Amino acid sequence: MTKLNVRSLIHLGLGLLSICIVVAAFAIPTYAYTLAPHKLPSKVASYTWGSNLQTSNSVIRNGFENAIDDWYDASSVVFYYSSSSNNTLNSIYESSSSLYGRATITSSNGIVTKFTATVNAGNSYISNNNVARSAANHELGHVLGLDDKTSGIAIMNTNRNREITYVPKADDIDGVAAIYD
Amino acid sequence: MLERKYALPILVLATVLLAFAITYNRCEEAPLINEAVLSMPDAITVSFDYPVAADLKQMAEGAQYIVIGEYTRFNSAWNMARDPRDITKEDPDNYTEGWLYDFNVEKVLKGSIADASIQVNHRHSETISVTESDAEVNSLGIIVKQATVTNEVAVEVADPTFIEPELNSKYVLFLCKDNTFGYYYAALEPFSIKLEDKVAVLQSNLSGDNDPFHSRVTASNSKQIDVNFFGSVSITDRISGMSYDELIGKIADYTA
Repeated sequence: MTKLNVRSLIHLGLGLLSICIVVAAFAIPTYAYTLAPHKLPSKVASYTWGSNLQTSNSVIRNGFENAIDDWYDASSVVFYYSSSSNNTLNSIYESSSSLYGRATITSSNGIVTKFTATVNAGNSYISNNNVARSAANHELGHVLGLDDKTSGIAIMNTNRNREITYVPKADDIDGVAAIYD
Repeated sequence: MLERKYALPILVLATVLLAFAITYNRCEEAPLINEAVLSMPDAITVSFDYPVAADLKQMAEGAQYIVIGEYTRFNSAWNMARDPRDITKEDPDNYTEGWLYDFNVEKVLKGSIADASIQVNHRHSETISVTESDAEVNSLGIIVKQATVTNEVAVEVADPTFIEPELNSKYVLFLCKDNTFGYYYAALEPFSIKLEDKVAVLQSNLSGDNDPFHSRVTASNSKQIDVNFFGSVSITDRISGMSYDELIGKIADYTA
């Protein structure tokens, strides 16, 4: 009886250990976010529309508007419009280029003092709504302080299929939480 | 009666105090991040969102055209940034320099190119304008006091992916075409494989030991500014060392 109990306990222990190993293997992220050397003062920041996005209903402006909603839904980040803002969302037209977007961020002591996030209207794939939204979300991710990566399911993955991955994913959300929470 | 007499002034006073308190609290929530002195950022970060291929398969699949040939000469430099209202004109606010090379096509592995010679555009550098000013900006990014003194400082930064091609050497290029200007350009990064004695050598700053993604420039006011490029992802080079036949065979498999 005692032998049986000991054996049962060993089996139970081994079973629990196996479960722990399996759970741990799935819990450890294969790909983790990487961070930039800057961050916004807080998760609330203003923006104004640049000269090329003054009129609504363009693919790129819609992309940015969706991206603003996406980051709020994902991480409670508030990007709000103000005509007095120092920060700009805009489009550029860079021809003969595979560039989807670009953000230029100035900072002092690691705190963002100004940002300009742009999506490239000259990219031949940008007329697709999801692609424009993906590029806008990626650039706002940079503004927030996330760096690029080349693998994993993330908006910051430069290797992503932009028609499919167009909103912030768990890895991006974890990155923003690591910066601000 | 006396109470009624003072009720209105007290109400007005309370309203004013409440409004003041709300305004004061808002100012407290959004402190200034630029002092009311001439201020200049100490770092510029430029992020790119461009397609990066992790391996030869992704390079082959992402390209519209794959060609073998030689660069024959540097043709000209031009402003890739165009005015969105009329792309035949340069963008008056942005300058991104492209270097155009004449490329002699010897063999087309993917796509259809009728011309024996094409022009290939390489993104070379860009000019970033940094503003030095005494404007006051709060932590929400709102300009609370307009600048009275403004200095625009132009900073020219090299594209960290740029590698100057060697003339009269053999390359395999993975390209897209700009139908407006007729130029071919990098479909993704990396996009170029040099053939040295029929052995492949991948051309990319993403796989080497170089770090062109972090530099320091001196602005016109002598202030040092760190320039950081995002897109500084690293890739594992599994292409260099392949023989010509192996390389061409794999490309054929991936594009079949």
